[in-house]
Amino acid sequence: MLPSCLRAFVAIPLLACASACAQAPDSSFGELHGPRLRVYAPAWVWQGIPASVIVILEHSEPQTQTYVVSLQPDRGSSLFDLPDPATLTVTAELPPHGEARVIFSDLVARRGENLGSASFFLSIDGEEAKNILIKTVRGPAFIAKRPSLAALLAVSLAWCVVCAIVLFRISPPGAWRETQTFSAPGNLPPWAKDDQP
Amino acid sequence: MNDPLPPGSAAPSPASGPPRAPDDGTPPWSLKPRKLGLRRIFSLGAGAILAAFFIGTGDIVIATQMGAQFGYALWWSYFILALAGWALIDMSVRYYLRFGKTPMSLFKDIHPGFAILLFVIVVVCAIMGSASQWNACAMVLTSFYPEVPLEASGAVAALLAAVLIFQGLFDRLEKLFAAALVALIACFFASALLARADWHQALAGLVPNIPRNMTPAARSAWTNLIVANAGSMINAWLILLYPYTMMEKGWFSNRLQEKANLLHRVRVDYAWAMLAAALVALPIMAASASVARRLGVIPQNYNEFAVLLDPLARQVAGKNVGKFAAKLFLGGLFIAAWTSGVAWWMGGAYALLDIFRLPIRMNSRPMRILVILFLIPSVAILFLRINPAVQIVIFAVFLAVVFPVVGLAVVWRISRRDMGYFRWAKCAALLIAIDIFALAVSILAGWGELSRLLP
Repeated sequence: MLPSCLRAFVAIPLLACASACAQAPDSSFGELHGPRLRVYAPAWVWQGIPASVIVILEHSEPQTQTYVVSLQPDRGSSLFDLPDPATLTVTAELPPHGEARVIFSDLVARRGENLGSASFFLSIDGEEAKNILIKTVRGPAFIAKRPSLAALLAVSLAWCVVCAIVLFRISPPGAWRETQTFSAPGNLPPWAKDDQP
Repeated sequence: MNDPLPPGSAAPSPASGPPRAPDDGTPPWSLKPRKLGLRRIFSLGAGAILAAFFIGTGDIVIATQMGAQFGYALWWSYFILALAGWALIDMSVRYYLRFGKTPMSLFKDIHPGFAILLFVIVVVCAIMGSASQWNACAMVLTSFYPEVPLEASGAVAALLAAVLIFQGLFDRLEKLFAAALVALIACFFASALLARADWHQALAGLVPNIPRNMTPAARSAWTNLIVANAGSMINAWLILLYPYTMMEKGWFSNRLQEKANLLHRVRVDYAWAMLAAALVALPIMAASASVARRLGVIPQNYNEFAVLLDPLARQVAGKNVGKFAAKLFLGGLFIAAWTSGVAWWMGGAYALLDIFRLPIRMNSRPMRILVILFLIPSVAILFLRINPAVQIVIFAVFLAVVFPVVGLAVVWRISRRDMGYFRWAKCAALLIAIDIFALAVSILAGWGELSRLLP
């Protein structure tokens, strides 16, 4: 019988897979002017960490079609630092019976702002196609590597003192200086045993 | 040394130098070990625990970055570094089999002051290493349950790990890890397959190469990734872990033939472990290359990577399996991170037990105390919410910096003539070459990181 922790180890991924609809990425379908639209956007982002929105357009028309895809901030846009507005409007060319992918990247939730939700309008040829809602959550305490390293080292080194106090209490005096030998109790597996007397 | 002692029991060495061993008269490397037969293939045992160290968030982040920036072109670096890692593990096992001494004794033999340095390294690495794994576990769980705070998810993963170790059943742990290793490799390969990775170029990635006409920035990224990979694959003091697993199983003998048999068997075991670490990088690089080349985005974190796999995943039987591919990746990531977190704690606890001459057993009170000591700060660090991608790169830098010290000490110790049957000799020229190669790799990696840190 599996012990409880092993059962939990198996159960957690299974439960996670069962809750597909709760997954953070929002992928949805929509119909617009003929092309089929799929949008992949995070449901939440960390403050200070760049995020991306992916739009996939596909159609079954026999000729090439061109669309102007635009992502415009709406409510709560002050929560985000957005890239150059020119990069938020892209012309996508769909080949016959093909698809086109458009990526809007470097959407960064501002650090220090209150937490909240921001909405973005995704429009195709000027017509609103989807309203994307992104929630901001508290991001890393430090973005840069050096302060991150300093913080982690500070916690770890401080904990060295705690570990030293505990280990000195439970170990023999002067143990840290002396070497330790090991001898097997004689339960070697058969393949390791020497047949010679 | 020949007096039987219970496993893990401690006894100070005689002050008159290393004890004489029964193999002193036998020419080095002259015995033929027992043939392994099929065991050669199915011998993954404690190596799975070792593999868990190597296949953690570090491996995944570095493989993701390599795949996104250079495709498969850096896959060869895993095998080169795996060979170095294998040699370093082998050196610690040879020392253990020769003297019957624990790995930390190797450093204390040189100077007791090494114990202080290693104590700090072990505590810092065990806390930072495990914290980054709980962070990754938390990100996976939070991607499925956004309403659960990251810190709570990480704490759940850490508590599960503590419960597993508290049971003190090493055999069960070994089997669980072997199964987990197979599962995570399957998950990553399946997600890469669904994302329609381009496998044709993978074989070319096995040949060591430097792309021509790289920009200075690309050249710098290339070097940095190799150095970071060295920090991840050659895990500082963790290369000393394997002898502890042998002690758990009572694998030691005073008879030379049995020592040779043991060495032969365990070499295959940790060779599988290193190979698994190199192998698991392939599907991650493949998936990452697909994302970067087709979508033009370098993923910033695991969740984004998983989301980006979704639109790439192919139609199977008329159904879009994108979400499934993302879940497979996240499932593989959870297993890799969780087992790695457990391994960090165990490796850290074994080393501290060794330094303080406490019983080296999973099923012991000091082991449980140490697990609690690691649990508290590694969960507390989650509240800083440091991006694990950044965290693990920093960590790899730290490991690469501390490693040369450990590597130099190990090579110096095993190259001495008192290694007896396992000593460096003319007939073992290849082994000597690999040992020196491993040392050179570790020093180069350490130097590379130091030169980046220093102004």
